[in-house]
Amino acid sequence: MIMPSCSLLHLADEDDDRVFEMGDYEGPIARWCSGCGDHSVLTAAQRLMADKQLKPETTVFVSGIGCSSRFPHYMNTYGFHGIHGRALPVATGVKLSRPELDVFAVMGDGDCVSIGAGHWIHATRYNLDMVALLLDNNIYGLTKKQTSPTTPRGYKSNTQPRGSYLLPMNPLEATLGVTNASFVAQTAEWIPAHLFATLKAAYEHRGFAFVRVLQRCPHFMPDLFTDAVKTPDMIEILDHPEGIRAAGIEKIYKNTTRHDPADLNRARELAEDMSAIRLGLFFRDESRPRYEETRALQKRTAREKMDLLNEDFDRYAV
Amino acid sequence: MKLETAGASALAEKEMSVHTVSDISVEVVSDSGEGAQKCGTIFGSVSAKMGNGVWTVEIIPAEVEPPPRNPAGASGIRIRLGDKEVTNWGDETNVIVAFNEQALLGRHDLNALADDAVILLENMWATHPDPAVRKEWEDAMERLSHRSYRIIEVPMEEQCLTVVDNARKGKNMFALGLLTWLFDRDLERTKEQIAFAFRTKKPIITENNIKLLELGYSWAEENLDVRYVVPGMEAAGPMVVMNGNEAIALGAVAAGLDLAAMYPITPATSVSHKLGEIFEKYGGVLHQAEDEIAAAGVAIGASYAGKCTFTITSGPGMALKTEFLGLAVMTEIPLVLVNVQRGGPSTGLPTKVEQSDLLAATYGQPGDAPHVVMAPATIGECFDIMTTARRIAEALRTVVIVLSDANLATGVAPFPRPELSPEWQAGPPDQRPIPAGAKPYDWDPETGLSRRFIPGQAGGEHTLTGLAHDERSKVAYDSDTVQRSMTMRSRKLAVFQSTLLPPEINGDPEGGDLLIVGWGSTKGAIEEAVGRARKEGLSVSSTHLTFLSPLQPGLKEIFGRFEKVMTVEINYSDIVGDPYITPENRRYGQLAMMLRAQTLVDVDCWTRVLGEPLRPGKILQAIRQHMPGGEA
Amino acid sequence: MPSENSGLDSGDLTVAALKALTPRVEAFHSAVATAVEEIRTFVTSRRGASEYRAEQAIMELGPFAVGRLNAEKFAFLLGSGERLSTEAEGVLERAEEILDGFSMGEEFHHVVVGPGEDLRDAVKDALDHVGQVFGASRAVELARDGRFEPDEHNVFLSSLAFRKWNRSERQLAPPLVVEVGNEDLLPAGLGEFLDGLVKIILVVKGPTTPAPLARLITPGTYVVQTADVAELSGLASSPHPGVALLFDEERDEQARFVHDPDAGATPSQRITVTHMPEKPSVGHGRRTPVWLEELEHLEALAKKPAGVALDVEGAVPSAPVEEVPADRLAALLLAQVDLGTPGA
Repeated sequence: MIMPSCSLLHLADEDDDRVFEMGDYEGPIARWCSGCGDHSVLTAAQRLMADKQLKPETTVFVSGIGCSSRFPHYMNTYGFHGIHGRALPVATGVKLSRPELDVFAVMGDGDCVSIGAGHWIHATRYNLDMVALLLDNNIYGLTKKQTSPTTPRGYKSNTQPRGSYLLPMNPLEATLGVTNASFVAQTAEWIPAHLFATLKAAYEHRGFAFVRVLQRCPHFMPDLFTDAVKTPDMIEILDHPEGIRAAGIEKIYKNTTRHDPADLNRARELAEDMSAIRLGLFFRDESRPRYEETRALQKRTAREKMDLLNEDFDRYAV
Repeated sequence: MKLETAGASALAEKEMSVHTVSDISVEVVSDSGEGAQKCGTIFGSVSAKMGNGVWTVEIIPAEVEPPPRNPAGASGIRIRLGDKEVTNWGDETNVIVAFNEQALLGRHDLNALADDAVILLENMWATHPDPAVRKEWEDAMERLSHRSYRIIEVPMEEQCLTVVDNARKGKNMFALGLLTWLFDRDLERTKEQIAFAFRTKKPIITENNIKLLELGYSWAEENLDVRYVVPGMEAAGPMVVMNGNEAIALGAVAAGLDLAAMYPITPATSVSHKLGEIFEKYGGVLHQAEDEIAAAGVAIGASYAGKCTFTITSGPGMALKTEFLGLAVMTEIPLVLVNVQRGGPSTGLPTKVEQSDLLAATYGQPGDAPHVVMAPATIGECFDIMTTARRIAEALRTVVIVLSDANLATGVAPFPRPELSPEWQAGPPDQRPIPAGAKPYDWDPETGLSRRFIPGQAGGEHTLTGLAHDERSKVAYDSDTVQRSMTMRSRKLAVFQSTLLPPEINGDPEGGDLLIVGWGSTKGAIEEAVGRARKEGLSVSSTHLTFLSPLQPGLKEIFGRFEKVMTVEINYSDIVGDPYITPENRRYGQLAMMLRAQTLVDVDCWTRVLGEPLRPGKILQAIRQHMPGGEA
Repeated sequence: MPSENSGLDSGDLTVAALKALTPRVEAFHSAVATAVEEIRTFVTSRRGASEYRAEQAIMELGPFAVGRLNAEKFAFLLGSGERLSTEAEGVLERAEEILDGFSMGEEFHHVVVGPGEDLRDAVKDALDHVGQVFGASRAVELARDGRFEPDEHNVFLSSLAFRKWNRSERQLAPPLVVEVGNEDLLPAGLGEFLDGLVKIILVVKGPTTPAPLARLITPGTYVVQTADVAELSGLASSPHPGVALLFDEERDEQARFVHDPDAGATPSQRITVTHMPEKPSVGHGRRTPVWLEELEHLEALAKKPAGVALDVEGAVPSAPVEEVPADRLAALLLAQVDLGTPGA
């Protein structure tokens, strides 16, 4: 049980009958390039909030630095646009101090998989109840086309003009390998229904919901998913009653495979196998311990604390 | 030279000499794991209860379990007793109990022992079956003979074996018995303290320990011919005794800091040990993060969403947190960072004291990141400072760095028990709706201060950003906004400085020949040295700075009353006269550098990095040498 | 509402039921206690002359600031909030008093329905009584913004009917343990209170109709009938409103079941029946008219649909996901548009 960390005073002033529409969550017009995948994710997030009737004032979007990290600026909620790679520690702090807030962390591939990799692993292990979005376009965009850890091998960038040297990192495989991972899904920015259904499942998950969103960068990685967009059969939808089902896509995306998200070993196999682009819920386990639960403590008033502190001082009395 | 020794069989008709002293330092040294620290802690506690001023400090080897009988592995404790308050660890040791001659040599090599030190030394090694050990003993005796120590051999092992099977686990209580007789400590109080110290162990442990205590006591009574009396004071009021890190932990609780995020680092970690033990019952969360950076991030995230939080670290950790500190300053999120300084640079001397992070703490963040830096000078202040730091962080919406150090962290001394007040605690986060039109950085053009919006406050939705931003928290790169926002963040420091009082003068406020300026944990040693120098007739005073950024007001005027001003610090500075060092290229001590820049007074400095706290005697020497027109 | 232990057995059960609800009780107490603290902080910072504010500043800064900071000047930094009017201060003090009374203790979480009394009315009265905390906190908000009009708002300083609680307040609703006689166990009227995070445990001794709570099963309500206190933990932790019926012992004629809104998409997936009483041969004895109806209702809800092709795992296909026409259109268009390399 999560203890509210606030008093009940402010509840009184709330305009309780507010009904939110997508527009209520919109901030200023997003300044991403046209054709950027970030736009779809923004829309899906706003749709999710309207669907769940989340209050703008109790929702916090935390981001790092990068194109996608501008995300909070375009939401009409509380937002924290911090420093490169560190969205997750900040989000962890927000959730630890205020478990009743809805927290979303939005990261790019450089942010999460490179400079913030250590935090990504440990946030997965903490399993705090939040949604972590990895907006993965396989390239550094804001700083103009440098190789990212997910850049395909051989892809020419400004830092590796003769093509990237290393095999790209597989964020799904990595997350599924972390102890206490509780929700791992993949979706694509160009299939809005699937994107929304995935965000919704992630939000509904009690725990750390890691979602990798496959994205195109029209400027620096334009060809990445061209074939996949044109040839729906290249996409394999993970289907299961316990998984993520997006209505209306089955007529286009006929290539499905049955996968029970409770099966971690199979999830790892599917994530590791790069022969198809797989979208859907790889793994979910709500029974995994959540950090904010194990750390939920009875709050004390100032007077109670001073009484307890007096007792502690007794132990040091001369 | 023949050593004067007193063996177990000697002294049948001993002639007692009893010395009444106002100040004496005692050490117990051993191999790691032989319990010398427990012995010293109990001795110190009993002494404090008997009204003595006490300062104890542990002697810690770098390794957890260094090889036995090794000078570098000496582990132990030093207890300084006085008939008045003791504010620092003092000079050389006068009485030492050593469990082997190698540990003793370690202390000898560090010049820790007074020339006339009385040494109570375990003598089992002299007749050890291993010839190599016997050789080491002989060599050691040879080396020790060049000083005029008085070595008294004590058959500790032999005696202890009459009570316990493993003397390694009992010698410390035998040694406690020796000290209890030697300093005429109350035997009953000592027994009570033993019972308290071992309260979680089986009763047989306490029983045996008391037997060993009595054994040591009666052995001393029969064999020793010297005793010390350190008169006690009337207790002014209830006192508590703890080290500086424990005081910081309790202070954090008192301040209403409900979340601490940290990553283990010596010598700061014991703050977290204390919090780990007690924090949860206060509803406090101690988060051990995956690294130093994350610890800062979690603290900042938590602070942003509610009550002010804090993070604890030491120099190398603070370096890793710099980007986040800049972010907190830029986004005006209150945060308290405690840096328990150690020797640097790099990994440096993890367990030893230095005051070398002052400039890094003040100026170490890229870009202009004005914030508050303050330093406690005593163990009691380690407790008090947390409440003040938290309040300032919230009032100014900025970062407050608290610079403690290894000297305060490990020093144990009694201080008046604080009278706790619920007013010290932060109130719950404001959750009232934000009135229409209010801006998240509604800087008062005069002061730069503004009201913080906290998630949950309807109408306050905004995205804070580490990018340059305007009053509405909108990213803004235009020249006017950049200049204005920087001005507003900087103005807060000037406004805060206007609320500070000038520092007090210890000595003669009217002025004189020399003013010593210090900061942090050196206060006790400096004031003791200045006191002694004034008794010698030298016209010297001192002042101690609590606020380093912004500096306290009135410094230039105060400095003007003295012919010469000199800082005393535990950080590196070049010594004029050394090869290549000229007045022009000399690198000054860190506070000296700040004072010179801020006051344009030609502030000199005497700083040393010896891997130990400054001894008042050495400061006194420095004062003599640096008097205007003096030897230097 | 003072508690009177009516019987030994139900007294023990009541204690156990309250214990099961501890997290909810603590959440409520904690929110109230924090509110009290907030009011105290607010009142002390806003009353009195500027000298007093300096004194307050030095209190807040603690002993370290003595001799180091000018309290008057620092108080200036703490903000120049308007001084509180005497009237507003009076409202805040009254509210604080009310809230303080609810910040601990369990008596107002405990309701005893006297013989022949109406269960619904008793629950309503208890909730209205606790509603004072929400009324008082509304009064605080009005008073500290200077908007408190005695004629209009004094009503907030007495009880506040449950139907006037807002959504957030209902989320914080205090849990109730209600002791009720088996003859008076007519829970159908409780439906209107099962909202937000309201949790009600009915403690009852002796035989009852088989499934009194069956009528309260709605898609978003946690409903449990049990004789096992351990089964109440699901009620306390569920993020939905809920009601429990705690029997003093397991009887054949009393159904035991759990309806957990999170357990599935259809009623049959959400309901787990651990004991279903035998249906009586009709017309026996003097059964109340609801007797059979309850049982049939529960059975109907819990029955797995027949004839539907089951998934391999035995679950029915999940409920249709809502479909937004715009999405479909967008997907179709995207699939057809060539976003290929510009210029190639």
